[in-house]
Amino acid sequence: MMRAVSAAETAPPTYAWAVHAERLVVRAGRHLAVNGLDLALGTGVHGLLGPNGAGKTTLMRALATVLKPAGGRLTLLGEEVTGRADLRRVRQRLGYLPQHFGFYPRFTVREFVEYMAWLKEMPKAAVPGAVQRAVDRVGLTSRADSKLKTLSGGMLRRAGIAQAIVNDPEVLLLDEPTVGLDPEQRLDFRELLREIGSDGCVLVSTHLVEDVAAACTDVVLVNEGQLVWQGTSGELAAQGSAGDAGDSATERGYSALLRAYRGKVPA
Amino acid sequence: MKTEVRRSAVPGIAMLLLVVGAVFTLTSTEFFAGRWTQLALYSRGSLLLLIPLALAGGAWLGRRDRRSRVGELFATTVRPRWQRILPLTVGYAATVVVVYLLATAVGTIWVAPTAAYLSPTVFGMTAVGALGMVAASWLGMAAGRAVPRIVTAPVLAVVGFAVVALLPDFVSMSGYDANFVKARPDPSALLLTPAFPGGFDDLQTLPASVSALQAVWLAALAGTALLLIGAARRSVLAVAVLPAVLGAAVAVPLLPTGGYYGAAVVDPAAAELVCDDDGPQVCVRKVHAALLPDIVGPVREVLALAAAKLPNPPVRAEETARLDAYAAPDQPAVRHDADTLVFDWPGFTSSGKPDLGDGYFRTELLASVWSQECQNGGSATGQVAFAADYAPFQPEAVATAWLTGGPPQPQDWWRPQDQQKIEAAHRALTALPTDEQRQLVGQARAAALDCDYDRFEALLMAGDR
Repeated sequence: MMRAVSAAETAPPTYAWAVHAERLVVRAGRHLAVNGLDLALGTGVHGLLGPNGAGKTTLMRALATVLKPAGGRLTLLGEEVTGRADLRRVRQRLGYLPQHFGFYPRFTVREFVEYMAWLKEMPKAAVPGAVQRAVDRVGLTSRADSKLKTLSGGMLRRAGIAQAIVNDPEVLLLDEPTVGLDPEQRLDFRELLREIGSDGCVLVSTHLVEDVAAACTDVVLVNEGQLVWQGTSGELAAQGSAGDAGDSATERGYSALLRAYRGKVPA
Repeated sequence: MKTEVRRSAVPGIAMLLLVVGAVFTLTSTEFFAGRWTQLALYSRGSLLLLIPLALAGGAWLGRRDRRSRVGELFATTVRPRWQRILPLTVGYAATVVVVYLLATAVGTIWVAPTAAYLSPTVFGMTAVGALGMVAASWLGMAAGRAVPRIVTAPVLAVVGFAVVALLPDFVSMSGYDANFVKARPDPSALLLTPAFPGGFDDLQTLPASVSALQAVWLAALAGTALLLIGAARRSVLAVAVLPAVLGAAVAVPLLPTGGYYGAAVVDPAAAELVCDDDGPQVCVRKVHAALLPDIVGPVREVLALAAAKLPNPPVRAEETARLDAYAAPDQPAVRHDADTLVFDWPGFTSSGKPDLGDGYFRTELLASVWSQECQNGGSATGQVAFAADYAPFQPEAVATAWLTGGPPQPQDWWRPQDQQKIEAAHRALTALPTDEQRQLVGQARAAALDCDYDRFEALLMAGDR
């Protein structure tokens, strides 16, 4: 069956960047986890890389409108979200999988994704179809009516992605989505990412460099709350030389960039 | 909403509440059997257990979001918090109301077949109980949200029990002075708890005005709890207490002092006399009217005995209007005439029949032949009011033995010397010529009905000396 396409959906976007941060400052507790970050992301799959404590999760939480920026300017889908902004319109078009995916364990996959669709204020008539599609896309069709507490870690992660994509988000934020997935699931997941990234902005935070190389069109490298480098995954691979640490070209590029950045900024 | 309620802890909590409520109802059916008002009050008594459990269940549910750590995920969604919490909040409240009504409905099995009178106050009392459950369930959820720890639920159950069950008793006890005389009436605030402490006579009820005020207060309290659950901003939390404060400010000054006992009123419709005129007239109060056929037999038997042997005998019998309960107010003594036998209701068995077992009712009826209301009763004296004053037991035993034509029936609480005196007096009485016996007992009864117990004793116990 064809889905009805509304005029709003087909209208060309009025914004240049899906995600646009200027001098963005976000606190995590007292600590400035994101400190003057500039970032502009358009359509495509962007991998967010960086060492532990680089501020990846804090940045993701700010983009997901969980945290309020403490300074700078953040525009999502053309809407300013800093200050006393009305977040409703942005949130309707967001999808988010937190690092710690919380869920009601007694809900079935379908029920929980339905519930999230309700929370995202999707039109009632569109919910059942959207839920089925989201569950199908993450490959949980056969477990759609299993309770979440009976799922394995990898399946839970996929259920988490299903709830994130149920509203066909224009900005999809996935924080460490590949944790707990086995190699085969990771391959499927990369496939899924490429598919979603074809018409939306996907930001995937990970510390697995090979995921980025395989599934992402672009790479964003952050460290100490600031943007270190942004480019395509091909360019990232080209940054490294044989002398850099790493088992693949991408990993070597990653190490090279970080080393160069640390050399520039005195610790 | 269906999914949310079904997939939450609500079904488990509902089962627990239902079992506790139903068991509470079934343990003491004799307290309410055959009487709608008493059933409504007894259900309100079950709140002593159900409110703490509803609080604890609410606390368990209230901590659901924290337990499942969904805060992060839900923070990015559009729907406002109050809309998100509404299905579970309303679903839980509806569930506890249904459970309360079901636990009450179990009791109707013992009430419906033998109840003759349904007071309209019953509906108000039941509604207040249901509202109390709603307020408790939401307060529990608010507490669970505020302190999302695993201990919150059990702690709240204990605190809830202390507040609804122990605190009113404590407040009430503190109103007594060193001589155990009530020095200060119970404050009207004791009526803020919907949990009923027990102690109403069958003829009493809680007036609709009290139920209405309790409903105002409990609705306000529920409103406060709802604001506490749904509030997304601190400013809302600050005003959340306002409804409860306003509700209490309206209700407390208007509620009667004396707590539940002070609020009890005689239900005039329940106290109407319903009579059986097929033979010597036997009347009971309307609240017991459905069981009149069960007691007509034993009562007429005693009336027949009296008619056969006593001069100026009682020719009709009626159930006393005197209240025999903790909640009895001041009651001036109302003397009845010698032609009427005034008896106490025999009480109910657990199956809802009059308690006629072991001939106890007959013994009471025989004692009623010589009894009169002599002393004022009621709370003003600091004493619990009892239905009637009974004549001194020794002459009464002699007179009763004479009336029934048998030897005195020893009671197990008689001392040996009591028994000797009674038997001696009985022998002396029955040794007299029949006419003299009749005349003497008739004089003794007249004395007892005049509340001249000294003369009653002197006449009947003469042979003992």
